[in-house]
Amino acid sequence: MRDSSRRWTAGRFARCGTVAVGLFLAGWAGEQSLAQQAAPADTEESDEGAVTNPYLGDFEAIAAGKRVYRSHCIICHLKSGGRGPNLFRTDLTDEKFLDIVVNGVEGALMPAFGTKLTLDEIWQVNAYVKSRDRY
Amino acid sequence: MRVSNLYAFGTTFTAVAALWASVAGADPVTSDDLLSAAGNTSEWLMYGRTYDNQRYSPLDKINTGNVGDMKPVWAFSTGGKLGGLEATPLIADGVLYFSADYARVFAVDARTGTMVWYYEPQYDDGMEAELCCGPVNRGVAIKDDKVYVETLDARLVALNRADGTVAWEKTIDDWKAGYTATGAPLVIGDQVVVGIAGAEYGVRGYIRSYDAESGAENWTTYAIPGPGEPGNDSWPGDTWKTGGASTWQTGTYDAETNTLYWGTGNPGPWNSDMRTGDNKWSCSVIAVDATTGKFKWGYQYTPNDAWDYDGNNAPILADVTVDGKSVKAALQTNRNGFLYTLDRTSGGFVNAVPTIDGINWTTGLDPKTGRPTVNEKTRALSGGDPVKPVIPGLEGGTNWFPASYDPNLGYMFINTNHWAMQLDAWPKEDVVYKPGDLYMGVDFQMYRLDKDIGYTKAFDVAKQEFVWSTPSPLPMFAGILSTGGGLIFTGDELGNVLAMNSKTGEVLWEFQTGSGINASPITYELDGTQYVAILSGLGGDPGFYFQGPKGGMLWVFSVDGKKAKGEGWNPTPIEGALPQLD
Ligand code: HEC
Repeated sequence: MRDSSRRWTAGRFARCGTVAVGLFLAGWAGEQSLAQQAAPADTEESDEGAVTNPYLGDFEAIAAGKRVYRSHCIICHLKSGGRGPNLFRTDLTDEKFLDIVVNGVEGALMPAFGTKLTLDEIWQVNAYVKSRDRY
Repeated sequence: MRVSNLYAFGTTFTAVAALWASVAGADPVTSDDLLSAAGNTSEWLMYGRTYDNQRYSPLDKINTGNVGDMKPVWAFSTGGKLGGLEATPLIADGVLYFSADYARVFAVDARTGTMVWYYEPQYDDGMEAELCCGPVNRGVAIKDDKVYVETLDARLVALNRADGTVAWEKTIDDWKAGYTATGAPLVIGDQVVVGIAGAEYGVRGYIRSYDAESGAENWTTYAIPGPGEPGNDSWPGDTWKTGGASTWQTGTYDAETNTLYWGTGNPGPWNSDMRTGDNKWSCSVIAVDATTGKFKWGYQYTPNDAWDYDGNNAPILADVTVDGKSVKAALQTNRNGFLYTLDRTSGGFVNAVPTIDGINWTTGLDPKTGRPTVNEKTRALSGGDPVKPVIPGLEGGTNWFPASYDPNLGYMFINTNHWAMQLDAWPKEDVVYKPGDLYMGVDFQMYRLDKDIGYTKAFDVAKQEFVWSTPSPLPMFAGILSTGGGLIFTGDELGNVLAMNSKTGEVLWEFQTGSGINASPITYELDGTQYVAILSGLGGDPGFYFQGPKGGMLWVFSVDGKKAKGEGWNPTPIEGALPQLD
């Protein structure tokens, strides 16, 4: 009854690092492959098995990502950081970015967006912040 | 780590409930007790201590002469995710009741620091993404045998005071549409009154009354008037439907006239040119009949707000003399940088003075009405150039943290902040309302102006001037308590609990709690000793501007630092982890 663990484990996305990404991708496998088909060739070099953003450099995805950013992220990350770090200068891998946006940062004010945003939207916002180093 | 590892609830639950019976009789807190709270110096029964919200206690056993000897008596960890503490604890019948982050509620034996019970609300995944400003909660309310708390996902939960079990719960609104709750409920008579948050998500603010016993809904009064109601025409088209004016703080009550006063938040979106007009009653205080919720009057501090200057901080009611005239006043210190003296019987403007230097969003207030003349250079137009600097920045001035009023000195004590911002409004076509998404339309950046940001100040209400000012390098975000001992208590983001001489502002005592303080202190008397209690734990908005050690502790102080020897303790063995050796 008073067990708080339910919240963090029963959801589709467990809160534990790469495992979460694994589960997440399993849940979204269908859309992920669709997204990959629709996306431009991914030229980014990546370690074998690493999850990468298929939308990097895609103009439409970047525009959509800006809308996602303004609808969900701007209140904290602002134009160049503030309440949260400056995402336009982030050097996180795509996989780590995805993990953080899906699961949030435990013990910090970064919320989990795993139930709110689709995988596409997260890749779009990632493509957007990586498309420029200033707002 | 799971919160519940801290306290193994299931198995020890009955034992804990039994402990309750031994530490205190569950003496009900009646409506009359709440009305006569001013004379009850041994307890602290509601958010502002008394309905007038003065946060003044006549207790004087701790005073300017001996406060230097104050020592911690005990401390209690709220554990969990350390999301920041903003609550005002209550104490009734020897038990402290307070909320922590995520609206978790604790009942703790005030004599020993031993937990009596704990309540943790459960939330759906994704709820945190609807919170503008962290998973904070500002406190609980008590009546009879119940304790009330508003959960982050906008539920009102009534807990049984004896054991923390849920008596009933009601959904106030749909968090998925951006309606959340962070305030402490207010009990008046046999009702519990609540407000909601979410002006950055296109909500329409309201206050709502529930029956304290059954949870049945009594009335709802919207801060933004509906079609046909006076003031609705201050919103173009349908903008009133998503116009914000949230009600995320606790109101003030005047029993003499049965009037409830409630502060309202900023209008949304932040693009003021998308809602030309005054946008009533955003950035205002509204007065309603406490029995029916019927609107009496409103006073708008910031018409057609373009700067996020919420007017939520509830007024303090005091009978004062200004300019030789006696005034039944409502005193409010605002995010827009001004401290207002209003006539609470009519909503008439008496005076306003700036609490910080360099305010530039207005070139001045009308001396008769207080209506500001806007400095249009500080209004960001949709799709236009960014404007900078705007003083104060959107955090205020005085944000939500409660002020205090010492009726003997006639001083109001406030915390206020001196900083600036830039605003950059998007083109109108980019600002689209979608339930649950941000509906802001403006980017902002806060700026530091000086070495010091925060100030604690004393305001002589009769003379309408500040008497002293004590600075702090970081913003001040804690509430204030004033006492008959000639002291005020507050806390800073450096982690210090501070006791100041209320006449001079001199810091007479300080104690480092280890984490930033953004909560409000209380005082009470138990077994002949006066205590001061305050929560410490960096979070909320201050946590957005600087990093520091997180924390979550309730600290209790007295002059002799002596604690009663208790029967109970807080650690409980983990089942199966440490069996008795045969
Ligand atoms: C309520 C405020 C808030 C919101 C809304 C928010 N964030 Fe965050 N975010 C933070 C904070 C605070 C941190 C820093 C966490 C820490 O201390 O590690 C952070 C960290 C991050 C990081 C890690 C950055 C790094 O370099 O380590 C990423 C990526 C991120 N956020 C993405 C997002 C995205 C994308 C959105 C919108 C979908 C978003 N955030 C919305 C507050 C927020």
